[in-house]
Amino acid sequence: MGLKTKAAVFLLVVVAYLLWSLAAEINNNKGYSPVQPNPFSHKIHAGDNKIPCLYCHAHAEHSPHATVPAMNVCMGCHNVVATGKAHVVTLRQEYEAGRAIGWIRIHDMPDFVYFSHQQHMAKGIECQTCHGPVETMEKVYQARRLNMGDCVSCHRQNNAPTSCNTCHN
Amino acid sequence: MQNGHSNGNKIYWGSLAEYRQDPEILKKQEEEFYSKPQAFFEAAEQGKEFEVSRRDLLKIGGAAIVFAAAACARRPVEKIVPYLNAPEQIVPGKPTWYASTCGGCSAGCGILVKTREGRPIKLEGNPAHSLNKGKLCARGQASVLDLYDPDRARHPYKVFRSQTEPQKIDWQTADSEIAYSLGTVKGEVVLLTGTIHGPARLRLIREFTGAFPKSRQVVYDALSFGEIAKAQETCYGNSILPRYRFDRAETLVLLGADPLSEGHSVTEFAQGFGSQRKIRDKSMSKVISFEPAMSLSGANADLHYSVRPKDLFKVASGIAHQLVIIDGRSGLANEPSVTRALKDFSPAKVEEEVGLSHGTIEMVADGLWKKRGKGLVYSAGMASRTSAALELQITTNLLNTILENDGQTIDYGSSPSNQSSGTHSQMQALIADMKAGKVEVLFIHGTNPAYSLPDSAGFIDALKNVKTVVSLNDRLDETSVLCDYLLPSLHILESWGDAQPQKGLYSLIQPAIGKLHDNRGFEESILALAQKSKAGKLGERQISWHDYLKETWQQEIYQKQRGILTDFDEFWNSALRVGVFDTVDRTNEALPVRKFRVQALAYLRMPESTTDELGLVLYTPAMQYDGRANNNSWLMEMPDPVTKMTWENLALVAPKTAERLGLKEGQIVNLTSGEMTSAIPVHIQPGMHPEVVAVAVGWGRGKAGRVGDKAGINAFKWAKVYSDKWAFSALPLKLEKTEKIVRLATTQEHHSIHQRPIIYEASLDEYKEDPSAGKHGEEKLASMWPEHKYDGYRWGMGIDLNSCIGCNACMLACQAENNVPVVGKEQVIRGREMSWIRIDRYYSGNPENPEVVHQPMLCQHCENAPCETVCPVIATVHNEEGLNLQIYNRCVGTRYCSNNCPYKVRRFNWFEFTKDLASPLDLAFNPDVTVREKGVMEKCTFCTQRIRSAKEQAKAEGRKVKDGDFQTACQQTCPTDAIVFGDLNDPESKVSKMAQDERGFRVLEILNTKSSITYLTKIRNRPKTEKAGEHS
Repeated sequence: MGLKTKAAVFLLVVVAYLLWSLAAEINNNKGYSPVQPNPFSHKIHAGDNKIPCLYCHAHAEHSPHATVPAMNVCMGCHNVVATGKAHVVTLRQEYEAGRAIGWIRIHDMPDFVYFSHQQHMAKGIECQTCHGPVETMEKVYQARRLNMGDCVSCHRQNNAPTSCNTCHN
Repeated sequence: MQNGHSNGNKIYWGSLAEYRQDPEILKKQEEEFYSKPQAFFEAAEQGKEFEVSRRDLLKIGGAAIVFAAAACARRPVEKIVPYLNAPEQIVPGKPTWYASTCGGCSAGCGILVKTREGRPIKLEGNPAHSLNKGKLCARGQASVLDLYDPDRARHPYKVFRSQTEPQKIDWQTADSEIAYSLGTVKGEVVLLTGTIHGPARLRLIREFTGAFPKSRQVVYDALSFGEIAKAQETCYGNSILPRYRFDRAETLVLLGADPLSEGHSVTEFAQGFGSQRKIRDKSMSKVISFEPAMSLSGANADLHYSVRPKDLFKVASGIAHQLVIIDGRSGLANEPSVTRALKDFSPAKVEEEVGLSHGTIEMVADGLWKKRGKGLVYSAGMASRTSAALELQITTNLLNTILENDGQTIDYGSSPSNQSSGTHSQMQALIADMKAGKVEVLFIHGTNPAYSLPDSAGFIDALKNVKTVVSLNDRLDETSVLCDYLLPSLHILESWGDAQPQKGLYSLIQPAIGKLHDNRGFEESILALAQKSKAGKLGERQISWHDYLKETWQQEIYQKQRGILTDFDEFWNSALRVGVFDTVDRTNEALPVRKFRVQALAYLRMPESTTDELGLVLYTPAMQYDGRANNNSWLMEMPDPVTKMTWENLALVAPKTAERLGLKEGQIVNLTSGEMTSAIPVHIQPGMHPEVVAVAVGWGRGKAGRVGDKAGINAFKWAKVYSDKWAFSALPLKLEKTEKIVRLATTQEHHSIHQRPIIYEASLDEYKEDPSAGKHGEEKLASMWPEHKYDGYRWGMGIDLNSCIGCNACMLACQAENNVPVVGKEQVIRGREMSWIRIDRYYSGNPENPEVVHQPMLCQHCENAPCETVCPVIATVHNEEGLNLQIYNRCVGTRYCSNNCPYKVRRFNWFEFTKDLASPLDLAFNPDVTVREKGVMEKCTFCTQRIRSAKEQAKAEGRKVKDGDFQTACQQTCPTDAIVFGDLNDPESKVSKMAQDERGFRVLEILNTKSSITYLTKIRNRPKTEKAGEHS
């Protein structure tokens, strides 16, 4: 092979590698951390105050959706707790005005995917396994890539079903 | 050789064009996948050339690049908005069920409403309800979509009777103005409603009308069975609508009636009918149908005879003559008035008049007598509703008395029906009063007389003489636009109420969703108006409708229970939760035969022979019913069970008639009868009498909404008005051909069976000799691939061709459960309807009067699936439980799988069918099933979401899924239990037993697809050699 050819091949390989890495980053949501309308801190609630995950995300044990808590769950404490803090004041104002906060969704699967929190909780999987160290997060970020490969690798290791209709239907 | 399939002697075809091997049809069947753009075919249809210029090509190319680049963007931001105050009973992600009553028609079947996050998404029959026992008909399944109808009125209107555009008003203004009219009323106040049978609803109506002098409720149903009650009164002295026990009828003779489509209790009738069709102890029921055209019930008969509508009562009288005079049967043989009345109707004379062989009459009479007390002669149908409908009913009653069926299959006392109380005479009396100016305030609810009455009935004219007309329908329909006000009422799923479909059987109606729009329930409006106008005792109370309902149940219903629950609130909550309160004694099912009043036979005489002209017969379509739900796109795209046509009604003519008049399929004709001439396409329908042209009512809505308007023509306008009744059959007719031919949206001609065996059938006698009769043994074929191993569950299905009546309930249930889209008339013409399960209707035998078999066809989940091996991206795979999976996001739309599927059950999303869905229709989707986009293949998944739910539930309880834990949507709703689904690895499951049945076969077994669905051969209860359906 002549020098020019070798250089061309080398360049092609480098470009292909770069393009492939770029393509791999399409729809890579790991690290996604949008600014929320109210700067709720999991560090304060789940970390310092050790509130269990299921206290707020109550449906995770018996529903596919973990669910973001209803406003009245917040008010359960914040009627009396930390009522002077600016963001608690805004929270209470929103509640009294009859408006629920529109949280920006971070961990999101495409609509054609079915994920059931209930099934995973039944197997004793910790919330942190997929969601990362949430109790240390001032602002929640997506800790894992949570693409299909991520799910399937864990399923394979743990003898969980890998039939397509487990998640796609 | 016909293009059908050969199964020994039998040839099957789906349409006459197939039977004749019409080259155009064969060509269409080859074009399953158009290789050119849609615009090409549209141009070709208009006789133009389709060209793409170079400029167009570059424009499209450029646009494509831009869109492709724009697609590489981050996914859109999604929000999670939680509840403000979470309701306790809703778990997001899990359904909440409410028991209520169906509002698809007035049969009053009990339902369980599946709601997700506060939205009803699916209706299922309530298994605890004795009327429908957990099943629901096609129209009931479709009715959930009506809740989200975008063309429902969203607030009250002041209407101005079509002089100008309706104007929005608020409730206070409407109430004040109407209350003023009520407060100063001097004439009659009339509530014109459809059938209502709930005790609290009726009590409210009584108290309301009781508050005004000379006031009353008038019940008018577009489809009413008034002649049944009248004949019951004339013959037996009690004016009731019986409860017909099709489940106890081992022999059934239908005279121009179609109980499976138009009966007043369709689900109950279908269940009963189906239970008798099942093979048990080597026997099954015998069903014989005499009718002018071919109805769904007639298609399911063992023997079918085409008879002119006016001749139906001659047939009935001939059978009675045979029984009473010739055979000397029954006590009535000694009644001189009876023998005198019947003497002109000897079978020989009937043969002369009607063209039906006297041997047939003898055979039918003999069969009925052998099963006396266990048979039923039923004749209440629109096709038999000539001007002599009452006389036909009286003759039918006579027959049932002779045969001792009265009290056995006709329940007149234990639990008679309230399901249809409208009568023509009530309505005619009202119209007369309206014309005379006696009616001052008229309220209309749940009925649409401006649409369903012919203009000559005078209703629209008579409205002019009514001072105030208020519509409480749900939209600006044909009647509402002629009123002064529209106070839009709620959908039944938003309402409180009650029902008593049969005497002693009660159920509640409870809302499963809050009001979607600024509407108000009918009863709430009545109460509000009574209170505002201080009308009588009712007007002085400040009570809500819910409290009034509860109070009525406390006062009138609570004491009917046998003292088990001592606290009313406990009783109320139990009634709400269970969904039914049954006080009928169902242990003793039979009643004595009633005494027949022979004076009723005074009318009986052989009329003059009818001339040989064409007669018009109107009939009730199974899907559209009376046209009330024509804005429901699911129903409009559902094929008529017999004609397999969608999106319009047609003039059905017999093949002989078409030949004689030179009519082609789809040719537009101008039909004139009475006051109306209408252009309508022709459909050539086998199994009809050659002197009959049949047209379905319930089409041609003008103000139903965006889906229903302009679909078909309004055949109700052809009904003939007499002084005391309306006739829908044997109407005079003039037919004029035009040169125009249109393409019909049929669902039966898209696929060819290529002379392969699809149906196996046998006669009952053959079956008795050999249970596997009819099947042609297929050799065990070797397979290229190793067998799949099923260690856990192995899902399979069984379908009994004897039980399937072709009612489409399964199709609608599947559509609701799986978010199956509607494609519209144009696409149905191209064969692109999306039903995951379809009912293929095959004719066989004599094209003038064929036999019919219905075969549900859905993905067979083949073990050697032809589709799995050809997908280039592995979007369809086989899983370890026997399912053939379709992964929507992987599919790139090559359509190779559909090309390869021998059953043609794979449906392709040619367009984005869910784009531009008018709000709030998007609320009807089932969140458990992916909504597919354009370019993706879809097909039956054996309700994999239900399988998953059942497995999750079982896992949570630490056990395996048991047979019966869950049902697929089609299985769940099938009124005749034709579909069975379950675990083939469980030897005790129903489906395993079905797979072992000697009648079991798989469709296209010769292709070695190893389908997971076992069909049971169709057994017909008629002699093997008799050529069914021919009359001399």
